Amino acid sequence: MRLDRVFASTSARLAAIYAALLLIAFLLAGFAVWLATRSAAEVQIRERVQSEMSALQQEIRVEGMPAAIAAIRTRMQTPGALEYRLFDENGGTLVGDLPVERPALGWSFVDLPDAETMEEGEEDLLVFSEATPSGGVLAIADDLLHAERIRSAVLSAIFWVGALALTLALAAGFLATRGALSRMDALSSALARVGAGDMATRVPERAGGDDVDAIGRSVNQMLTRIDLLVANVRRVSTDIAHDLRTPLGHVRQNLEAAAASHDLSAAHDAIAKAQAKIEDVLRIFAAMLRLAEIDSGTARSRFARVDISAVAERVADAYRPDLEACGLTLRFESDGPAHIEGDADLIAQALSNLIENALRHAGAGANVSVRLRGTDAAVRLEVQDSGVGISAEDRARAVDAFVRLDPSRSAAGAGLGLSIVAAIARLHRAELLLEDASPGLRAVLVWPTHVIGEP
Amino acid sequence: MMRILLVEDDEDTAAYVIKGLREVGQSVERARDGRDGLFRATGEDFGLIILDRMMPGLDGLSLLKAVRAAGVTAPVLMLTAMGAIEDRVAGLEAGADDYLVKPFSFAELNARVNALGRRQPLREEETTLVVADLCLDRLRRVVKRGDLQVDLQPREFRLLEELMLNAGRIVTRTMLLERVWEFHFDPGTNIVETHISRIRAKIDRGGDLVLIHTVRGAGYTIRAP
Repeated sequence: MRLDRVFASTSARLAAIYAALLLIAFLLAGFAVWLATRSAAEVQIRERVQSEMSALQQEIRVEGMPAAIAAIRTRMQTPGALEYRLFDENGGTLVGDLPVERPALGWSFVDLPDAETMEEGEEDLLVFSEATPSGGVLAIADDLLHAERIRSAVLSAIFWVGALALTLALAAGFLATRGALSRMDALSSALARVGAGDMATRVPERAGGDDVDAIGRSVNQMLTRIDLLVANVRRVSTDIAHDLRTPLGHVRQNLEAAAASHDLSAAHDAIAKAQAKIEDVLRIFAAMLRLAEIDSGTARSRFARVDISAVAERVADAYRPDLEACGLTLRFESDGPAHIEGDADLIAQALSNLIENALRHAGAGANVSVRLRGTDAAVRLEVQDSGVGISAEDRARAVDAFVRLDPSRSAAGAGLGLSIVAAIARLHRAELLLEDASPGLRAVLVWPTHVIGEP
Repeated sequence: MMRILLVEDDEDTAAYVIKGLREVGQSVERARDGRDGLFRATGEDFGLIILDRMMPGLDGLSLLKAVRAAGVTAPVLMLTAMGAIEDRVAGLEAGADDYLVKPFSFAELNARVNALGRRQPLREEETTLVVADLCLDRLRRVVKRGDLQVDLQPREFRLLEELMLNAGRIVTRTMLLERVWEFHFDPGTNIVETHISRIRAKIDRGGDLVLIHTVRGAGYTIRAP
């Protein structure tokens, strides 16, 4: 894996951003600690100097100036002592070696030239001066150096911890990026293979539940769906070709016979047969276009309030004589008017297709019932027959375009009836269910109550 | 004979329609595009206008609206493409009197041309329709053959009414599906045939005088012998 790819990746950018944020946080924290240390040390020094000042002033007032001078001398000999200088009223030094000339009263900083370079640096001494009762000035100072030392120790600690944390963050980011990149590589190479036409390719799936896994799973689901659709298109093309070839072949035979015939009435007969076959072909095309048109959803723009019960009764009445002529019975039951937003024509067509299916497949002697049931949850339009029914496996694929469960494909119809019903259901946000009525098949259009009224 | 204006850009369809209609004795004139069609339809007097829905330039629907806006009352038969429910609804709303889905058989076109063209306004308003000794009372919804009353189901009554409104003319299966059952799709079964045979059984039961005739390859007609 090339480094530039690692740095170009999203996760590397994220890692870099996190590292930068970490750095800023450390700098801010360090600055705060540095400020706090400095002020804490200073406060300590001030307190020490101030208490020394009040002790010595007390000494001067109570014991007198000579005793105080002696006390200062004694203190100066102690290691780690403060620095002192006592001026008399004329500015002359009584005791002490603090390197200041009669400073202003109160607090001040004194900058000492460096012993070696003689350069002026930072403030080195914090000096406190107060007037003595005799009109002189007592100055007491402490070295700021040891506060400085604490501060630099703290700063270096912050620096090293920060550097370590930053290194770890960058290393972790790099590793994470490399890991994510290899998984992304797997994803994109799988997609590239699919793009090249290998529909069987799937993205490697891990049991984990992170976002990359989720993308992988979605991609796989999508690929399975596409695979299915592509296979379906392939199958439908073959089926259309097959369904059209047969009648068109008959058309050709009949027209050839007509052309070769010397008998006018025989020629007419042959042409009439050819015409009938052409009608079949046109019917298949009409059904295909109808399906495409319904699926386009344009019909939704002219949805209106429809009483499904009235539509169902009209359609059932239309078909009853037909079914009875074929030795079936048709019964219509309704719970009363049921209004939805929809297209009455299309609902009539859906119901017609379902009744025709029952008529074709249930066989003579079967009972067909058309029922409209309204419950709190849904409106159900059912077409149930007492025929042999279809297996659960076949029920699942029965709605696919051009599927004819009869393998010889000899029954009438283009195998688009249920596809059209399913498309009409989709258009109406209803569902087409095929249920086992044992015996027989129950096809149901279900409008869940919450979709009724939605255009 | 009726003067018919055909507005159709497709040469083959136009030739087919013109030839067929002239053979059955109609006088057909053709406009090749919407603009010419609008000019002719508003400037001359035609008994019927046959209008293609899809045309380059001014399409059939816009033409129809313009023609109706200009006050032309001639019946209009709209030709629409297969798989376009929208066109039927839009066409009827814009003032078409009937529609026909391409590709159509000439028999279907001819039946509709006759139904539209010779539609006698009075006939629609007649309350009693009579063919030979068959009498249909549209108000009381009673049918009599001679002196015998015939009991018909509501749809059977509508079917007979439709046939009798067009007595002497051919009514196609598709026309009956549209007008009697409001089915604007092809049911692919024998709804019409079964109902016709039921009505026949009830009306022509004497068998001496057959009134309802099947016209092969076209449709049905009711007429006195």
